[in-house]
Amino acid sequence: MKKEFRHPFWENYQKDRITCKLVITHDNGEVTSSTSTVGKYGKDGKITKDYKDVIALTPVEKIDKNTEEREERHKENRVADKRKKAEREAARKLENLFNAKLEVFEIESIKNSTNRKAKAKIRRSKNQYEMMAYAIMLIQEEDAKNESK
Amino acid sequence: MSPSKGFVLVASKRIAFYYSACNLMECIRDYMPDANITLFCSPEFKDHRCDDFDQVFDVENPDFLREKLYGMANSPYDITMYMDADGEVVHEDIATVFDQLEDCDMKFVILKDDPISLKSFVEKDFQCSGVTETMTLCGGVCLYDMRNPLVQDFMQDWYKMFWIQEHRLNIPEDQHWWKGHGIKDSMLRWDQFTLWWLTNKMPKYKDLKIGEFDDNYRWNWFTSFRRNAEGKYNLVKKDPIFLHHSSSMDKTVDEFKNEVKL
Repeated sequence: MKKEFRHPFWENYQKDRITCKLVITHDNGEVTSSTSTVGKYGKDGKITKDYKDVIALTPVEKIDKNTEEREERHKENRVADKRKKAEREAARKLENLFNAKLEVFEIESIKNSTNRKAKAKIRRSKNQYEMMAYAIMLIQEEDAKNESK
Repeated sequence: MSPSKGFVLVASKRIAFYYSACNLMECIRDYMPDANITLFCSPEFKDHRCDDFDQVFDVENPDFLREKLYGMANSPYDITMYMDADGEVVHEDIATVFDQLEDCDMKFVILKDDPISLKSFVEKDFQCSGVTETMTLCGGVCLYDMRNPLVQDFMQDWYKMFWIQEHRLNIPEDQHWWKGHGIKDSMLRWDQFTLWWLTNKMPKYKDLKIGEFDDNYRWNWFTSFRRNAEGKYNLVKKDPIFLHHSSSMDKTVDEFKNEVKL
């Protein structure tokens, strides 16, 4: 059986735990891999063989560099995720507002109103609250018009 | 005599498209009070709002979702601006639309930048005769000159060829114009594929002058497009003119007809 520790990075700032990909080539030739954590010290307080093997293959400076690169990558991913979320939210708001406007324009008194100015205000509303306010104003105006007939 | 100029909107199959077409007509009029606007729609959708359009025609096949192609092919205007109904005009620069044509026969928005998240246009790359091809012309808006007989033929062919695509299971294979080119079946859903074929595979149309709108995406800005780092509209010099909601417009709006009476 052959053990190989790939892409190691520090798991903590004390630098006494390493996370890496452990690739094992078994005696029958089969290869398996898993994510593995390697502690520097065993229960007896001595430096473990696995840790020594990792360091032998990958110097501490390289592990430092891997750790920095990983942190940077994760930081970039977090920023990208946040931005994507904001984009999705902005798109969702626009879509919801558009659908809400279509619904409002199907309200009978608004649909039948000839007040172009008021309808344009509804159409140009930048959010649902503004749209609702203008819709209510127009409905009230149309109701008053109907009552006075 | 100066050419007639106007907008063509189409609403078929789903009443949601009729509602949004009425809204779009009003949006256009907010900025262009005298604009000519023609609607092609399923006859059962019509209500008093049809009176606000200059002309209203029945579509040929009310249950066909892509009757936009019928409307485009039958525009009553010399210079026509077709716009998908599921969007809204949000900028006064719409008033400059007919100046956009310049010396071209047709103008489209061209999808050419990878940084855009094209949720509504996911299958843009495809194989044709073993070669990877890309659909770039977006059919959501189109400005075209119907005085050119070739443009008229183009629009008619677009409709007829897409009709064959859509009804391929009931149409004899000898009419399957894409046959023998290894086109994936899923591509046949897209009228953009027909558009690609017309502009890339048909010698008849090779001399048509097809151009791109000035500041391209302003004229068809999908709400699913990616924003820039400041959260503002991306890849445009000024704010969009036409916001296109096709990726997630609430098509179930058909049901709210009975729900919103106060």
